[in-house]
Amino acid sequence: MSLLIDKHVDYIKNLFRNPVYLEHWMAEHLKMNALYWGIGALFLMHHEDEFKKEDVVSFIMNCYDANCGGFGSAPRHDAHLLSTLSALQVLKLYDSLDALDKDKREKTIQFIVSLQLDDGSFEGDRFGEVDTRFVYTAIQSLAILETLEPKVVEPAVDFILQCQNFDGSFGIMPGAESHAAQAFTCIATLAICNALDRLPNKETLEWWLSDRQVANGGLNGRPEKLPDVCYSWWVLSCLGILQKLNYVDGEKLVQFIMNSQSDTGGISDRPGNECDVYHTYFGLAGLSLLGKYGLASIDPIYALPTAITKTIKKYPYK
Amino acid sequence: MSQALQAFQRETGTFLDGYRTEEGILRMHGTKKSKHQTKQAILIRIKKDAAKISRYRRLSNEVLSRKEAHKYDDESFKLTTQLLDWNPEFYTIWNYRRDILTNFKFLAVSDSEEKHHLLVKELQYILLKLKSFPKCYWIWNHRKWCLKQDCRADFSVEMHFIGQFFEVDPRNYHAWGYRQFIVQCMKDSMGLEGERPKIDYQEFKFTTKMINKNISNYSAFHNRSNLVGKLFDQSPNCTDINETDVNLQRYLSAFSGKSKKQVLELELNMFQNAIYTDPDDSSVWIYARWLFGDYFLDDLTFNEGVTLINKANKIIEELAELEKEDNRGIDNQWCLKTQLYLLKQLYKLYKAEDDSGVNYPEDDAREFDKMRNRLLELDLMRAQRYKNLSLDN
Repeated sequence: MSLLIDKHVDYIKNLFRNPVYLEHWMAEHLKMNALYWGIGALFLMHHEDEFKKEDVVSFIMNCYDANCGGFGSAPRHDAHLLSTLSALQVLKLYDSLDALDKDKREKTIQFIVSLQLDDGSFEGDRFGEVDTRFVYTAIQSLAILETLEPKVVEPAVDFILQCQNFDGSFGIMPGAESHAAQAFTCIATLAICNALDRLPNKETLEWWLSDRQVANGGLNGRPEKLPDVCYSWWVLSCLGILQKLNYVDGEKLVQFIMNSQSDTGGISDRPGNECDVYHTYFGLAGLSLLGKYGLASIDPIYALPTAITKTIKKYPYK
Repeated sequence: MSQALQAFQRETGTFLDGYRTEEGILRMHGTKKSKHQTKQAILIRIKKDAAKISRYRRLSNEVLSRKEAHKYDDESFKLTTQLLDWNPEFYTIWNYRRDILTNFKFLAVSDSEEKHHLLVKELQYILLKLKSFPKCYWIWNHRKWCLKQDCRADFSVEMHFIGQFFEVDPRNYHAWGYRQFIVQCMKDSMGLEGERPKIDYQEFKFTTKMINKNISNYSAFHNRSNLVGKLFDQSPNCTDINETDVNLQRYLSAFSGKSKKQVLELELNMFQNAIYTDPDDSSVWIYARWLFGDYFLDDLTFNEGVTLINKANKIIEELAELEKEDNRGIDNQWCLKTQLYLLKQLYKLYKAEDDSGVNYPEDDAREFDKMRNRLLELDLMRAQRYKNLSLDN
């Protein structure tokens, strides 16, 4: 079986065409994330020029909230850390961070930093939802803007370490059950903050991660759950960061992802299901991390191509 | 996506006018692939959807315009309900709804009782939404926000509500997180410090109930590990808690006496029941790794530790033999993995006694190598981690 790159490229291009079904209009709250997944996928497949950079940048800047400095998921939608990171990631992919002038950039930094709470965690917006995802989105956003500071980083690291559980892995907040996607946000945050050496119980964590692989080669997100292509990224990236990629069977995982590929383009959560751009991106990201099909190499910490992340100044800054 | 639809889009599409979820941005996990659609079927659907789209877009525009004008009134509130009924994932609208509550609805109430009634109505609405979308972050978050606004909130109603969700899905990640939130609210609302361990004890009991109901509930095991730690720290007073179950009375007295040895012995019984109930379910096996980890062993004397590890090993050994007979000579991997871990923990105890580890039984060292080699053959997907494993590292 081969990777149907042309089909996947078409599939992604079609995502952003004229919406015709009601469903299309009802997913605007995910549009900025979808843009990151879609364009990220194109970059992994070496199809960087499918979209016009000016179109993309102008869409993103239409989602900038001049009052607070964050980005919403679509024009007129409220700013949130999740959409803010996606916006910055796509700008970074197109080497277009300068679309944010000095004032706007300053406001964006303010928006992110102001959402940090006393315990080092971040709320996603002003309404108080706390989640380790938001620590990651905040920290990576600041990393892309190259403005990480000890007064933000140190409490964030302390908070992340509090989220580690008896099984070595991480949950949504202290005391919450381990979940592979949360594990990624926590471990990658520690990596960006240059604090991986503060992580205890590494062996227990590595065993928990490698036990996510089930008999058909796919990975699940929690014990006794079904495998899902997106965990090809969430679990594998963690193992990549910990330099234990060989703790799962890469070839069997590749088979599972490839069996979830649709012959008309796109990848689904598991074989036989409907595709979506989220699983398409993270399926390709997993394949890239395993070095398959000549895909551009992906950075397990930033979930962006390494060619892009090598241009990001690393913390602590010299 | 069907080729007919692709062709249709190539004819009509322009970049970034919209985005499509028919091919999906993030669909509900596990959506089965739909049948191939003809171009005609697609055109019929597009026609059918056109009227709905125009209503949906009109409503969205109306609500967003009101939001941008900072309009906080009953009519706007009603419109947010209508829009959220269409689309509960529209987080911006939940935000606007909260702003209407804060800047209009709450200002119109005369006392906390009236505010409570207002919020109870909101909670009823949220329940309705959650029943259709039990995994939507934004709805759960709105419920938490409402609870925080209500100084007369009835937490027992919330606990009952969570119970209903566990009936449908005992591993719902959001429901467990919400339970943790409510438990914290209950503790915060209590004046007396001494009352708090009671709540943790009730929660410990709840995990016992959930595990007895279904041994495969890893979420319950996870919570149990947290609660055990909390109960040791707080050592609740037995006489404060009316416990009629004999087995739970033993736990309670072990917590209050801060005896990790006793709790470990009791948990070993639970472990034995669990592994015999379903030897292939990973939940309790992962939990066992923690039971025989440093958290417990550090508090035990050398002899206590050795005795309990050997006892656990023997329990597993007996099951392993039965499993092998039942499965035509094939070993149960979880038995092997756990025994391997126990033997390593045992070595650690010997090493702590005498740095050379010279007293570690030779039989155990041989068993360790044997099991490790067996796993290298059996658990091929994870072979590398066994290669990296030795008694010493």
